[in-house]
Amino acid sequence: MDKIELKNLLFLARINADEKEHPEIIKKLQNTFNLIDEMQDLDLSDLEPLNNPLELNNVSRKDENNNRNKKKEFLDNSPESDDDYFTVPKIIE
Amino acid sequence: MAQNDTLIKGWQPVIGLEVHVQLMTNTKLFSPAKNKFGEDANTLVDLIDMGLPGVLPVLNEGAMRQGIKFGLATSAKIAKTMIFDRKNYFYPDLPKGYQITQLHFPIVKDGVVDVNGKEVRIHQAHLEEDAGKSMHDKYDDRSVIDLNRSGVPLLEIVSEPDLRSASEAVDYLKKIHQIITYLDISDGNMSQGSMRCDANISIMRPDADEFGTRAEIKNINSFKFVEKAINFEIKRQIKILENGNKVEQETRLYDAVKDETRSMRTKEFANDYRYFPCPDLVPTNISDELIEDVRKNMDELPEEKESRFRSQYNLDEYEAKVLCAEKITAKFYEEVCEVTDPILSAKWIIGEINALLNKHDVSLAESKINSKNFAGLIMKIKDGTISGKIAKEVLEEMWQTGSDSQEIIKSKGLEQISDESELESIAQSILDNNPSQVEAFKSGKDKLFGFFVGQVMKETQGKANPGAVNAILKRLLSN
Repeated sequence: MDKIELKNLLFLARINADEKEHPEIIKKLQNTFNLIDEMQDLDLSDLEPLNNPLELNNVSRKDENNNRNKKKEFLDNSPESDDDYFTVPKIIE
Repeated sequence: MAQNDTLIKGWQPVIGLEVHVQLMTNTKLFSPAKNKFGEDANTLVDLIDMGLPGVLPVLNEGAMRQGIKFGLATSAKIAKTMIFDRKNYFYPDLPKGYQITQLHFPIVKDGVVDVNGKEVRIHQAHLEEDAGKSMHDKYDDRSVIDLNRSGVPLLEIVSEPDLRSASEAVDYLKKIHQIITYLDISDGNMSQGSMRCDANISIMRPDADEFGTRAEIKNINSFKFVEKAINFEIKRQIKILENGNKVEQETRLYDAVKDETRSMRTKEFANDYRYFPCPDLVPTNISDELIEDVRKNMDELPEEKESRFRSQYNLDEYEAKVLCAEKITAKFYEEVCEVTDPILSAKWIIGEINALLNKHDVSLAESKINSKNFAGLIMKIKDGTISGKIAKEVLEEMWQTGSDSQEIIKSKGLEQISDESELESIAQSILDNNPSQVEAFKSGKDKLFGFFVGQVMKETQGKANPGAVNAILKRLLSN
């Protein structure tokens, strides 16, 4: 992991970290990568990939509507809104 | 690739489509908020759609059933275990900061659809959430967000790159549209965004071993634009390659007004969605019992309906295909058949009704014609109350007003005149008024018979029963 990769990662995750902290973050991430490298060396060819440590089957719910309109509560509790919408800084694509 | 007529200037287009279909569930994919189009902004939102801390998504069984249905209809493999992943990115219409989707273990894999006799493979179909909607015109310095659509279930149907021309891509898309509407899993309304399409396009020399670099065209929202966007993109890539340059792998947007595609963003940062299994949702097993239950409750598919129509109503292949092209037309036809002649009804729907729908560019559902007033019209033709010519006039009026055929016939005085004595007196007066023609006819000018028939028709404004007129004139003239 180098500085450019880290900057990209911080941008994607919207994490604002001071440049002075970067070497420390790189060091920590590198430790994690090392751990992954160690695991890569193991022969796991006869194991199924583990997608979730819980050996459970997901539950589902019936397709029935039972919630009420909370528009006002949601808008009132948002950082910024008008009477109908959440408002955000102009998004320019 | 033998006898290939899809080459353009010696280049082979290679196309794959990703079709997003909004599922017609009552509620959203992971929240109990209502799934409905066109409601007041932000009224169909739940804590889960807001992405508030501490909430947990719970899978909607209805959406899962609809995904299974699609898999069964395309002879695909239904996952024994499906897994939801997080696709991470920041955008204001995605409050959680990630979309829940399926990457490696989708609900449906390896399907196939028949497009004009060619098998087009479906790589996979997966369940995912739709994002909210952002709008930019309300304020100068603010964008506004409506989260009603946030969390609405989508089925993303990904084809293999099996399509070879723009028109084939359109036919494939129409096939998908037909399947999802037949299955009642989506209304397939492209203008309202309930069916959206991205196209992956590349070109190659026919003898090349590898596909060319592809560009992805996003968010094409009509059948017509799919064809135009793909054709534009093929031409653009040919020009690039023939000038010795390279096609860049990028996302492009189709601009319908300018009829062109253009690059959506410069890629300073490569897209990196950092997918990982969603820890809030453990793997979901799909039991054989559930699949069987869905199968049992599945509606007839287009091909099944076509073959039943052919045997049950004695239709030919073409008639059955046209009547089954859309589920609503097939249903309309069967309702009409319950009360009147299937063959005559088929001819009138395929000919006259379709002509009217095309001319006015509306769907059967939007028109004022319904199976009841239309069946009434067919019955009037069948029992000889009106001729085919008059029936067209009645249908026009029905199209405008939605009135009953009986009413229209009565109010416009269009009823066919079959009354013998009335027709005879009209015919006699025609003969009386044209003595020289009568004489000429009697001396051998047989062709004049048509003249007399024409005169009677003119006198009755086309309402005379032609069979009766012929018989009466023959009798009168032989005297």
